[in-house]
Amino acid sequence: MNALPARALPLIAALLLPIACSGTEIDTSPSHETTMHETRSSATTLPSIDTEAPAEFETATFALG
Amino acid sequence: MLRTRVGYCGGTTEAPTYRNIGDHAETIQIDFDPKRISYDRLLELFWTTHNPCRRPWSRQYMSAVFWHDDAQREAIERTRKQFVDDPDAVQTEVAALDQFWIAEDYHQKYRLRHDDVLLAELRAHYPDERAFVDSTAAARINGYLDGYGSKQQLAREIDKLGLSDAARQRLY
Repeated sequence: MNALPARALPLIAALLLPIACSGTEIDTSPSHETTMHETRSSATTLPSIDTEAPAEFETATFALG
Repeated sequence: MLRTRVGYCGGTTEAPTYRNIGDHAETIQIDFDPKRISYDRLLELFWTTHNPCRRPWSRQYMSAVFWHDDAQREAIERTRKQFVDDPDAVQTEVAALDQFWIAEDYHQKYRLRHDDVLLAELRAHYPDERAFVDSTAAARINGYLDGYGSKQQLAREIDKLGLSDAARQRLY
């Protein structure tokens, strides 16, 4: 296998950033923060986009060579 | 979109890394709210943003979609026929997800990691690496930094990203 530039992986991931920026708004259903962010700092006000994230979600996995 | 992470899957090598990826492919995993965006819509974006009929250079850089359940498997097959001109010529691999190996920290939220101001503010919220990677705010800021998302989208949600005025200016 050829040597690969150190930035290759994030560049591949960047191809799917349009997906990351789709579905723009998050609803206000109960938070799942207690399971996802147990070790977060309590000294700052967390982004509401995180605290309001819905507990139910689905997962998709892609490779875009 | 709720969370994103990059990693490796599709192969058999145990504990792959960037320098020892074995027979895995570089992948991205997305947690999404199906009430906001459907898996079919994600598949439409997937099929139409790469050439699924191109033979991959290597397994590391192959195109693939990994289904998590039978419903996803059916959706992949249906959308392949819907969005690919020659479905029988598809080289993109379709396989059941076996195991997703998350990539090294320095690959996660790559754009955000290279903006000191924004990174410092997100780190203040999430000093723990796992929580940082799982942050929706971090994922969306990472996308905006790379030029994705409209100004209208950003205006609608910037108050939810937990940023100071100085950090906000980095996104406009």
